[in-house]
Amino acid sequence: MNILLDSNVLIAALIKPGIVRETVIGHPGEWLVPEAIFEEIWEHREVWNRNRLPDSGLHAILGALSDGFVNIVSDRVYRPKEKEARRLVTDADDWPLAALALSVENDGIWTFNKRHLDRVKKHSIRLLNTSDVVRMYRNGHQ
Amino acid sequence: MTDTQVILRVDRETLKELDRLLSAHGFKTRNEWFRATVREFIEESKKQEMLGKLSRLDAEGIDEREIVAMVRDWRRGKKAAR
Repeated sequence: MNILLDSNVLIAALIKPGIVRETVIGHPGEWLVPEAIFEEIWEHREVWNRNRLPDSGLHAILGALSDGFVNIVSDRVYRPKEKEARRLVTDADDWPLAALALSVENDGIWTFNKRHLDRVKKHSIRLLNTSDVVRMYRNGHQ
Repeated sequence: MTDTQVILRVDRETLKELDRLLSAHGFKTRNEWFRATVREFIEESKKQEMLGKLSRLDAEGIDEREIVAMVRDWRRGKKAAR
């Protein structure tokens, strides 16, 4: 499968033990994250890095995550859809996610906040919550 | 990728039992089973390693709503600073 991860889901995979992290790590290579979101998460590491790991340790963890588990998609792939994507999001910072969804074949966007991406559904892009994703894997997607 | 030959020693009874079970589990040859088992072991080990690394970032008692709020707040802050 190809599922896009919203920033909130990626942060949960990083800092919250449980089903989100286990699902992401349990299905390596099936996740797509726009480069811009990965950079945004790095820029705000002081907010979510509650255990105060040094940057070198954080860098190594994010590197391992992007090497084997989550595909970071270059800005060049989704930039051409920026204008269209901006019309679909309520928070301007979400445009890379919508643009990526418009640019590549995918099975949906996994988010904790479906409301702020609601308009992407007009383009037949599915919005998934954690239960939806877990159900998709239980129903035979490996 | 070039294959490398691996020679293993195992007692006759175990090998007999292995061969019986291999066909019961749909493996055509020992080689096919060995490759699949090694691949699975490596994949599983990598997942466990990654989970171990991530556990260093564990934040106690945080829920999905707090994470959504965390992102919303830093974006608000960024916009206000512009």
